[in-house]
Amino acid sequence: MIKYTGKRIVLIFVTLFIILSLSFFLIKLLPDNTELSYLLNKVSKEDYELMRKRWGYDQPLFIQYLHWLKNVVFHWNWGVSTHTRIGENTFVLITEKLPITMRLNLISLFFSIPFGVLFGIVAALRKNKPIDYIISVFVILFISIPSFVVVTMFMLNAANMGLPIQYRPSDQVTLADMVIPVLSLSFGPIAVLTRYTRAELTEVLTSDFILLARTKGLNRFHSTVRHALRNSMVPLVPIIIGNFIGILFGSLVIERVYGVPGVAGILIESIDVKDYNLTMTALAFYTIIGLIATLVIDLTYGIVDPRIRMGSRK
Amino acid sequence: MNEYKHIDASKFEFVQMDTKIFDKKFETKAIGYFGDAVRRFVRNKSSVMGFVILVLIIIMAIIGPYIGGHGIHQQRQRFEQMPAKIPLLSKLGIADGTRKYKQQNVEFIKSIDEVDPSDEDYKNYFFIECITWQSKERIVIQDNREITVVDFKYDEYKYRSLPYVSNWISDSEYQNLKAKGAVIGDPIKINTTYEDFPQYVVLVDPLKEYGFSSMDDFYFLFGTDQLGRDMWSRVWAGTRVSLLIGLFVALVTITVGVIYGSISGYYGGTVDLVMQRFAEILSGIPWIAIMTLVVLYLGANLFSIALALVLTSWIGTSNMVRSQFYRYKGREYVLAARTLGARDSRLIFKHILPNALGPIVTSSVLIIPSAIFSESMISYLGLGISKGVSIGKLLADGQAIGITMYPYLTVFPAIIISLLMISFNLFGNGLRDALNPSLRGAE
Repeated sequence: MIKYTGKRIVLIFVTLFIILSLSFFLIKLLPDNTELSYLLNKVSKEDYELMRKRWGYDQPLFIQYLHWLKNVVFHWNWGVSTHTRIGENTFVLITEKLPITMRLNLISLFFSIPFGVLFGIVAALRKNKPIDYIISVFVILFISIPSFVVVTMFMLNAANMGLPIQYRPSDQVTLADMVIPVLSLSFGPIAVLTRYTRAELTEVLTSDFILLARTKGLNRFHSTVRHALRNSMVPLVPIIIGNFIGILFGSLVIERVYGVPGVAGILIESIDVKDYNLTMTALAFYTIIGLIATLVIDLTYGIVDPRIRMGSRK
Repeated sequence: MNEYKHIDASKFEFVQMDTKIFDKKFETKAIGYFGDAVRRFVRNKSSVMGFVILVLIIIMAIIGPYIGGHGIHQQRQRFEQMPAKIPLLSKLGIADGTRKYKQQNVEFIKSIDEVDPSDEDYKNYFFIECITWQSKERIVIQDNREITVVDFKYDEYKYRSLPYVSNWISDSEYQNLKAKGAVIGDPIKINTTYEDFPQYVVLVDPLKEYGFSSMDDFYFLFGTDQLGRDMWSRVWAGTRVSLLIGLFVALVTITVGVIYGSISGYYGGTVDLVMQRFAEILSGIPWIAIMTLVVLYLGANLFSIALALVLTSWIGTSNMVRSQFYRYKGREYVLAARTLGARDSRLIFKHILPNALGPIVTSSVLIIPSAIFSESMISYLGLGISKGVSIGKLLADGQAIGITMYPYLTVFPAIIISLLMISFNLFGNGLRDALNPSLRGAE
């Protein structure tokens, strides 16, 4: 396990290095790379040359790359923003917006867990009864209907429900602003969690040790709560982490549609205004989170169920 | 045992003596793998429903733009932003071609004399005349110079069908209108300094101008967009494009995934190790990074988006195929075929790959909706295709124009994409269960 974990962590760094290097060259080699030319309208020619020199844009691309790599690895300096906020460290720009995105995503995650588990339990205990069918219809609906459609429908009816139709500026934000994006983001995860909980719990409920518990004299309630639930909850951990990644990337669109000033806005905006250093940093942020989450999911599979040996030979 | 010894031998008779015993011929028909799959699929009602909806949507995506609509590209200046009007539903008050105004500040009304404000129908009065300066957002009603706030709705179709005055149109435009029979009464000819280029002021019947024979005929099922293009046709054309993206992605994904997974799984060892590391690194890149880079590089068009989707989606298929190869490549029948001198390619495609056919079919069906979903998501992020329509583009455009004012622009594509997702998922799930041999006869 330790060896496997170590191998995976090394591989993460390799992947990250390859992705970031590739992104760097692909972005900087763009045919219409006019990262700085707009500055000419703002500052004098001398200042422009000075800025170019200071940010290293006058050097060959490979040297720029080495500088960038050195700065990232040794100084955690992700380069300066060349447009959005000129001269500001792009990492600072990201971390400024991060709390807004994270707050939204974590609320959605923790909102989805109890509901997903609850519906799953109800569906499993009442298997093939009307309530199970109703829940499975909603599961299909929530899994299928994209979150951006859900948020649109919510926004259409926002006025009727007394909710703000757009995310308001940060000084006026209340809990009401969270309702629509949180609900839109959590419908999918709730459905996924419901489906898995139902599948896990039905499997556990029909297993031998539950039969043993019942023959021992435990009533249905105790056998379910004490024995079945506990065993069916464990495999849900990776699902929940997977849900978090789903929420994080789904949040890209939801934030944009609902006007939430989060990290998603930065990524898209930086592409629009050709602030490529910022694009790089935002991409790195999503890459790192994605990689870590995949690793954690794989590792938790091994931890929660020791029967699964990741990376074992066949 | 002893008690049976005294049974008389004559009590026994031979079942058969001279005739030979053959196996009885089966009276039922043998059911093969796919026959069984179809049978089990049909039994699953929700999947069949999904399949039927899917087929309907596909048929509409092919023929929809040509029937019931008014063409994809024609722009109609006079009929821009028409709300949806569906003849059958309009009696129920849904999609009846009216536009609602909520809490408008009202300062001035032209025909205030004709309206009794105490009247209950005041709010539903046909308020067209109060629309001055063509400003539809701000309804201006003068009520003793006091500003009143009113909610009301009016029939957009009735308003737009009213004749309008067209100023300073050229001779050719006038002849054009006249040929359509859209000119009401006599035109006023304006004498310009150039005798050869007369200008006209005419009263135009917009219905005739755009080829509608009567009010009954005058409807846009899904409304029109800001250029007066028919949304019905555009939605179905967009569905077609989205489906094509999905189909393309599925085809390429399956091809690449199957070949990659086969080679990796069949040869194993170092080949497998290297190929798996490559796939692992590629799968580590989040789709947003790939999408951004591809769009930045190749521009926002159908090909680049499909390519970006393919770049990561084949890994899942190849993993699945690879595991199938690991399971089957050591089987005795494969060994037998190898002993008989079958080449690698024959072993791969003839003997091992068919085992993975079920999962491959299922995953190819499920790749299509996820590709459509991703494409829409990209459109929403503003990185989507810049020319043409797709469902995602329509959704994003409708969103950008404003969903409270023009909800029909977003609602109809949203309904179609939701139906598409639901039916694909139902169909795919049914297919997965039907093609899974381990579930054979389980129900």
